[in-house]
Amino acid sequence: MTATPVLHLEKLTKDYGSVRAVDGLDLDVYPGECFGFLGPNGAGKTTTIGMILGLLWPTRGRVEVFGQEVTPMRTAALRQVGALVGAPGFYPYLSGRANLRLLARLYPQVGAARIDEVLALVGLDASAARRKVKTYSTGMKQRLGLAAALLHEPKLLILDEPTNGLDPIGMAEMRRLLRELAAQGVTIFLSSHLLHEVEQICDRVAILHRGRIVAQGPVAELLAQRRDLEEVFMAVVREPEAARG
Amino acid sequence: MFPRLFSIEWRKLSGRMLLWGEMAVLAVLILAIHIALMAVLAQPQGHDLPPEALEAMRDAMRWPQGLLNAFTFVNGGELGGLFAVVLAAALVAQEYPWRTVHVWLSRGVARGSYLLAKAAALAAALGLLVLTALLTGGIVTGAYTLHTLGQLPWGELPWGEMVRGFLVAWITLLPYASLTVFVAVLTRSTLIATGVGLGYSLLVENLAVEVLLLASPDLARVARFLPSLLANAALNFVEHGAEFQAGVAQTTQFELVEPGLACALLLGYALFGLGAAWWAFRRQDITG
Repeated sequence: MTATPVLHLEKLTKDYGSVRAVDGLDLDVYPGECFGFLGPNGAGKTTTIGMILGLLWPTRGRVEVFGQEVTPMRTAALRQVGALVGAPGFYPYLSGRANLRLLARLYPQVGAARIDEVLALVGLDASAARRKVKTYSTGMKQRLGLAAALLHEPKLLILDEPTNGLDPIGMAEMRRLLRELAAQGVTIFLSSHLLHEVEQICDRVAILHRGRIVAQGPVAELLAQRRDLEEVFMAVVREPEAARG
Repeated sequence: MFPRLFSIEWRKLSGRMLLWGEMAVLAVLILAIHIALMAVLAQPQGHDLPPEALEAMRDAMRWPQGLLNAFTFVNGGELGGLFAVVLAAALVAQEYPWRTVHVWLSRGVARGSYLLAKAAALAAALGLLVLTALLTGGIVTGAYTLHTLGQLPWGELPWGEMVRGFLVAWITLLPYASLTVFVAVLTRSTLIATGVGLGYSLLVENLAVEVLLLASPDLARVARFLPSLLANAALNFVEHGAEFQAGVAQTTQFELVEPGLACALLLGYALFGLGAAWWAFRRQDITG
């Protein structure tokens, strides 16, 4: 691809003491793409996303979002990013709608109509939106988290395990929503361990293992030699481990 | 951007029961103290106080002096410091387990602006606490004045002193709040931040004065620079403070610093605490 990447990671590395969580990641995500970021638990996916979102200091390397460098002290580029990372954070003493209203104060262009729109998009009805977040189930929090991520109509959406806590209907709705957003031209960076989900939604994927990218490319290309992403995943993650004994 | 962040922080704070609860508790405590004093003064017998002392107490309960005395309850070395600690710990540390700090920072909110907006909202809330003390004290002493004198001396009200007293009492709260903000950022724990803040305010400062006094009178002079004694010294900016100065000097066996210097040092402590919090926050990995 020749377009300027929306997200560019260069030799991105993160050490926690003597443990290297992320090891020299190079990665580009292009406009309009849905990019799958796969890996087993502890592979370094959330740490990488933490560095992309300016929450963690990289030990080495560089993150660029929309061509601007991002560090914990330089986060201006993130104003065009929507993110849902792990368990979404909310003020439990406020209602779902009040939480969104609070976030909306950051964006002059976001009004009450947009709040209603995103609540409808994620399937939270008016009575649920009126309830305090401390009464929400995990699935409802996840829906509200996605609504918050979409609130300001971001050009890049970063999602870390967005279907966590959702029931099968919720998962299907989330997939449909992500497809719609991708069709609208929103770039999506989707971290998940649900391979089937990624296979259905994403154009390209990278597989992370022990902090390193062990496979990367278009989904169609990776599937050329294998039946599904699960096989690809097993081949690049499990088989080398088994060979090492 | 900063006004928007301040409005967000203020909305977060004012949306919680904590701030209104603290204001209510402070009002009730001030009310209770005044009612107890009034009960003592109302008894014709049963206390050994000389008539001059009783009259001085009555004066202290009446306008205009009664209005200014309200500030002594809410200053940093007294109840106000404890309220400031609890408020600061809740406002800063609880954002970590709630993962809301992640939300704001990952939306491109600069760390400096985030912390500054929090500090500004906290400072505004502390102003409300001082105002609560002034209003409650004003109402209850006003009622007592009306009861004993039959009228309110509106013409004698020391407006300038009241403004000065308000500012000084507010400044005395800032070091306790900023120390707690620092511990809250460093530990990310509401419990630890509250514990350290209250421990410092209730235990460490008092203990330090005692230890320094035991060590030597010269060393004890260092204690004058502790926030609680600076708070007492700063309140001497308000006219009625001469009695306060005498009382504190008697118990601590040394003279307090000048009120102006005390205010400057208290502001210095507050800025130092906030600077330390910023130093910790800018280097922090927001995990969890």
